[in-house]
Amino acid sequence: MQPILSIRNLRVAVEGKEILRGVDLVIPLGEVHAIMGPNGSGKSTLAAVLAGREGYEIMEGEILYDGRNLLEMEPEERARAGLFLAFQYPVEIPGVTMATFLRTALNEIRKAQGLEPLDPIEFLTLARDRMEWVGIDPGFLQRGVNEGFSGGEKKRNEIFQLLLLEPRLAILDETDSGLDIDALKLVASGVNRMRSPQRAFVVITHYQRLLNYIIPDVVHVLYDGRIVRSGGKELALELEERGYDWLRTEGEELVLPTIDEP
Amino acid sequence: MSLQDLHSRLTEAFERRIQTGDHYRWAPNHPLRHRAFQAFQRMGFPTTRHENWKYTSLAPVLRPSYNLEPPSPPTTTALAEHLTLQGKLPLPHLWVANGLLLTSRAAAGFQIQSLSLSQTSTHSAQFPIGQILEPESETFVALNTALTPDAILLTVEDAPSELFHIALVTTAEMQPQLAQPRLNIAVQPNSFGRVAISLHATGSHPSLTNAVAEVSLDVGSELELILWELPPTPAFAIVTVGVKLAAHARLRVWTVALGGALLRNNLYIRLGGPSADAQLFGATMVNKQQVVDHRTLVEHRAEGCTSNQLYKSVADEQGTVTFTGRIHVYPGAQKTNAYQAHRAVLLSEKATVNARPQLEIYADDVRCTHGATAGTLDEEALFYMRSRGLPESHARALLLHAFVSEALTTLPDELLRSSASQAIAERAHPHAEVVQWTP
Ligand SMILES: Nc1ncnc2c1ncn2[C@@H]1O[C@H](COP(=O)(O)OP(=O)(O)O)[C@@H](O)[C@H]1O
Ligand SMILES: [Mg+2]
Repeated sequence: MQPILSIRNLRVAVEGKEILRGVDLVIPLGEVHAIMGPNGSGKSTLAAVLAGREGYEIMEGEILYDGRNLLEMEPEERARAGLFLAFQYPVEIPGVTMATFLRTALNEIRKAQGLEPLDPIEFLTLARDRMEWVGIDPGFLQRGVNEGFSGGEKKRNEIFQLLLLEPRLAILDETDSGLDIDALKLVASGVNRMRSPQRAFVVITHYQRLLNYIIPDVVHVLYDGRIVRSGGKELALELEERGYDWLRTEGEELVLPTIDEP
Repeated sequence: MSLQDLHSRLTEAFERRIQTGDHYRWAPNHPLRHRAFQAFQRMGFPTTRHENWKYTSLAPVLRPSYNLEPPSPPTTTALAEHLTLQGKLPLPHLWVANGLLLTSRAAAGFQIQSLSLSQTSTHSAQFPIGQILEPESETFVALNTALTPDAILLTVEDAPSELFHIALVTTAEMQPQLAQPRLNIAVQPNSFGRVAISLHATGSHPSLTNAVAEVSLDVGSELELILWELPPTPAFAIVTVGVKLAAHARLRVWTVALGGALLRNNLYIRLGGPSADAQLFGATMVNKQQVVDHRTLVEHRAEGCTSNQLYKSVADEQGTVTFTGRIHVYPGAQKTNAYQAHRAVLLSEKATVNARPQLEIYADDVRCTHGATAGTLDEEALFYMRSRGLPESHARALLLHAFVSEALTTLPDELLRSSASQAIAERAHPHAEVVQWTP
């Protein structure tokens, strides 16, 4: 079957500085892939490019999402085609209520799928149910989007939206940071309930802690803008034990010859 | 028409009234009328060289050849129909057409009186016109005082819960029309009232509404005043509201300025007794070539008074928003707290925002802050919303709506708040449903 996401030799620069230096990645439906790597290795940059944020210069490479050229799609088209990014730093939008925002978002996505929009009652029933999965007070629907939410609440709110919008490819950018162990378990169980042969996950994380609860099929290591290693879930444990530094020499030896190609 | 012509036609109108002694209109020959007309002649119409009109040119406003007298009044059915087109407001209690009281509907706690129809002696010391806004204070007050056909006096007693709605309509069906409505609102001691004043214009000709309201808040009283300004495009309006607050009085004003070709709002607030409080809020959106010019003056003349101003404006296309806010703290007005903020979003390179805070502080125990910002929409927020599936135009509209509506969150009247929200949403995005929804 065709993978939901396939990235080939992606090179991306920000303000003239090359951040992603030839990323290759294939994500089949039904799988959970973890991307690990030290701070500054380019994880969030990759997530942002996938979601369609402006300000990135694509120097080379291509991204196919469900067979389509992802880089030609607007951010909202990507969302309607089932791509979802849980932000590392969710933005506060004072004055736009969660209810307004999420019902609009959900109905836009449903429209793209040829489904009828949900009326307010149907929406509330669904939203309250999904909020319970991740332990968010339904009263939050009346508040501004992320307005005055604590760090942990913002993260749980991202996962709540994931559960509500039911994407086909969900990218979680450091959702575990800032969460205590109980919240982490809630978030993980929410994600695990969503695992299905029709859906794929990319879990970006700095630590392997989250991967004790969301067991990945494949672990990739992103180091200095390249995927320097891929393996099974044991790789996460190895990184936890040995840190990232050992990859430097090994990584350079492994990867340098390939990137030197024209 | 040249400015010279307008001047001479105004002079003719003034003299004609004195000669005919029209009984329908209050005291055309009253000394105050003469004083006012002289003041007008002395000051003339301001140009942009005038400090208070630096950013707003009156040239387009004064160009049409206005009919200066009220034409035959429209029917209330026609007016009601017109009103439904301009947002869901409560049915007016008072229709003032071209400055004349057309119809009124009683409301408990509110007393209505038309100066031209009443027996009030216009020569008593209690004569209520010109006490708060003296004709010499500025041209448009002078002109209104000299030529307004009537003055409507509204007294608020006790604490009526009903919102009292005054609709000011200028009819320009046959020709350009000048209307000069005059209001006087008096809130009795320890009373509390809510009043909405809405501006309307009918017909396709230009209209100029020069409205003046004098408002007095007696000891311990409260007034919530809504200025609802969504007239159609060919309308010009200059609205001057002077408010005097006695000790412990509280005033709140919300100005919703979304319509017309040019709107000028002068809010002159005098905190005249200790511990009085005034809060002014403004929600403004302009596009095309619209101009909205807010001028506020808050005078702290007594100890322990507080004032707060929050204006939020959006300028699109070639629209212009001007905000000039003056805070004047008099000697002896210790323990003053005065705040002021104008926040603007510019949506086009050709749009203009002018914001000028003006502080004059002559007391030492004063806390005063002011701030003016002009920026663009939050790109991070836009991206976040789009990444969840919202079309860009819709995401923009929601952000704009949230931005402008912040000035109206304190608006207590549910109906007005939702109408304002609706009107802002329509301005933010003519095609989508962007009204905020709170379950
Ligand atoms: N908007 C930006 N402007 C300039 N540099 C950036 C920007 N975003 C990211 N970078 C740089 O790109 C590199 C990768 O950052 P990021 O993708 O956030 O890494 P990670 O998520 O793995 O910690 C860092 O060196 C960072 O400083
Ligand atoms: Mg990151």
